[in-house]
Amino acid sequence: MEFIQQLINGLMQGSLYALIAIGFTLIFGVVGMLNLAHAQAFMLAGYATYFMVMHTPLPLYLVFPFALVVSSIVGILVELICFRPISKQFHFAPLIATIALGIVISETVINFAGSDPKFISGDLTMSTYSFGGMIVSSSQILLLVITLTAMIVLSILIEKTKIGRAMRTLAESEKAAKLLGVPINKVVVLTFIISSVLAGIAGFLYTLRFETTSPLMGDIIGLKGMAVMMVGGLGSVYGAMVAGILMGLLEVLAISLPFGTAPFADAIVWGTMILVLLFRPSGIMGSSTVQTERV
Amino acid sequence: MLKSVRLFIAVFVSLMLLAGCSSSEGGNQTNSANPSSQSNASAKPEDAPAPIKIGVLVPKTGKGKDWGLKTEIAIKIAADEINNNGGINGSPLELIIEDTGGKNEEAVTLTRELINKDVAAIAGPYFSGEAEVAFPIANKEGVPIISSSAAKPGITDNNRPWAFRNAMTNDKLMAVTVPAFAKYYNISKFAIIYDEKDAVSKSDGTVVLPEAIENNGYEIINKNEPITFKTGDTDFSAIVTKLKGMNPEAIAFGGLYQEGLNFAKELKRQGLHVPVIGTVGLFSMALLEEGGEDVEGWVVPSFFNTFSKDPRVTQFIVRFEPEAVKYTPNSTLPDAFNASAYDTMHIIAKSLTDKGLNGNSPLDELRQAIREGWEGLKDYNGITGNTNILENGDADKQVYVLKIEDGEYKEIPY
Repeated sequence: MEFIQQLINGLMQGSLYALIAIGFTLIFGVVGMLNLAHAQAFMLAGYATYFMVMHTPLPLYLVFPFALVVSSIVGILVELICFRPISKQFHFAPLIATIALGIVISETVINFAGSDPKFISGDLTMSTYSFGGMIVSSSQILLLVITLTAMIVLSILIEKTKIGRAMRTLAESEKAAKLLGVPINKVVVLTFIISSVLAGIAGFLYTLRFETTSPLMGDIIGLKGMAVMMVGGLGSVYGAMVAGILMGLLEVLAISLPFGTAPFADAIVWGTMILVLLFRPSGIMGSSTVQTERV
Repeated sequence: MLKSVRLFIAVFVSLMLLAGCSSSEGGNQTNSANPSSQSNASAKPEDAPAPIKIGVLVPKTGKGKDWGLKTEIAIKIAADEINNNGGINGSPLELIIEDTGGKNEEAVTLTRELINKDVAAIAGPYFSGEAEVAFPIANKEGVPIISSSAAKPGITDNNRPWAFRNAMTNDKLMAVTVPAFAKYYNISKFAIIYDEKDAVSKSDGTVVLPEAIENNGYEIINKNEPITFKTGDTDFSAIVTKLKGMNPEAIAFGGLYQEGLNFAKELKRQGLHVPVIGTVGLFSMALLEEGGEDVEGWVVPSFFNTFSKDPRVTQFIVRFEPEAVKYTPNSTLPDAFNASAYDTMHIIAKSLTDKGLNGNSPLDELRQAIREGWEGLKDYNGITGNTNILENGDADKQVYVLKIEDGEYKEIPY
């Protein structure tokens, strides 16, 4: 029974990693570059959620879109400030610019909201369900439902819609996309919005699930999201989904196995990642061509 | 192309400006503790003694910003009181407050800077890591340096005779708190969990707590199966599920209050209701204020009781809260480290007043007098209770075993 409870725990945490990783991988797939301010979109959505829950009487279904708007704004800013003005030939400039923007956002939050984490107190009593000794809270169910829905919607968007086709064309070749009349700037901004909406969903769910938010909450989860992206396969949305959940399960396994491995949980998780990359450098679901074309 | 380069430069410059703004806000400042005392001093006749400069090292930016700002408030209140009571034999205290940002390198640079500015003593730094690198410098230059919060054992031992600590190390606190807790709840079997990333918490989890538990004849049920987390962790679900499977009578928590709060929420969610005991890192006003009923019944050690009825404590809080609300509106009460920083300033002042020195005395004599004042400190009765300084420079302070009850810390007798 304890084991099944641990599987549920891992699945929940893994879905969060997957959401973040998909955001990373989407940008990489389409623009071919990393957005290291992605974790800040996640963090600001968390703050937006905290603020609305604690300081307004709005119900959660209205807090949710607000958090997404906040994270989308971060995404748009990142594109307008760090990517669009910088010529493609400078590979590292946008990367460094996103790091810089991320730090500016974090520092601003620290200076206005304080360095300590904020906790949602009292107002958010979410019910807990018990199934034969296992405990699942409604925030966990919400997390699972929203994550799954987001993944399905995203798949449909990429596979079946016009904008999805445009994104895929752009991912293949910017030249071809231009020739085919794809409005490149528009598609890129849209990609950033979708990516940061995913981060926003994660930020909202994280804040509800753990009833807390902090200016540094994106740092660790952002790093893990990036690693999940690599293991899943650069640019592969499905790979990110699978790898995210695997990472969550592995983490929980390292803690729950009765061999005194808990202090090594991170070493086990990251060590496994190195192993995966040694044997499959392109990631679980990445094609080797994506790698060579992109890097 | 040219346009995009220009744009990039514009963005870069504005980023730098932004960064500049935020760091200059936290920059150093010289500040005579109280504007009114400054005007008093300048109104005095020409031969009024010169002010005595005291350096202060606190983190006012970065990870420890909230703690540092509150410590600064406590220090300013103490300096105000000293100056309003005629200063030190006529000399006002002048504080030179520097922001370390909680960084060890900064603590080193700023300690040197303060010494070059001819301070008579340095109050700070805040963290053990900073103290480890700042103490040797002050010790070599012969400047008294007193941290009111660094909790790692052994830091002062290596820096005799100039470094002191007006705080209790966790080993001394837990030796008293663990048996008091076990007796109060009538328990004998503990599970230990600790933060392996935070240096102090790790030593709490691997040395301090196991010793305090076993030396008092109690049992650790997960001795061969350590359970750990990391600073910044929020997901405690796997840990709590595992703990539940172990059926502990009580949980000993080696970590800071931020993670403590996340842990408390998960305990409640999974319905594991056992008493929890923490080390001094867990003791914080925010634990009460943010934790609510999730932390009801938890026990922590402290060398200060914020809810004491001592009029000096209540008076201190009356002056503290209106300042603290500006920085941390959700957490306005002082903690043990704020209170000991307040006592530290008064002990510095007392060492000088007792020797009849003032700002006109030679700097060496001032520094020597402060060192001697600390070295021989016996039964100093401040707002943190009774304080003695041991041979190794550490303080032996009164221990309060505090249990959270109805949103307040209540003392458990021991």
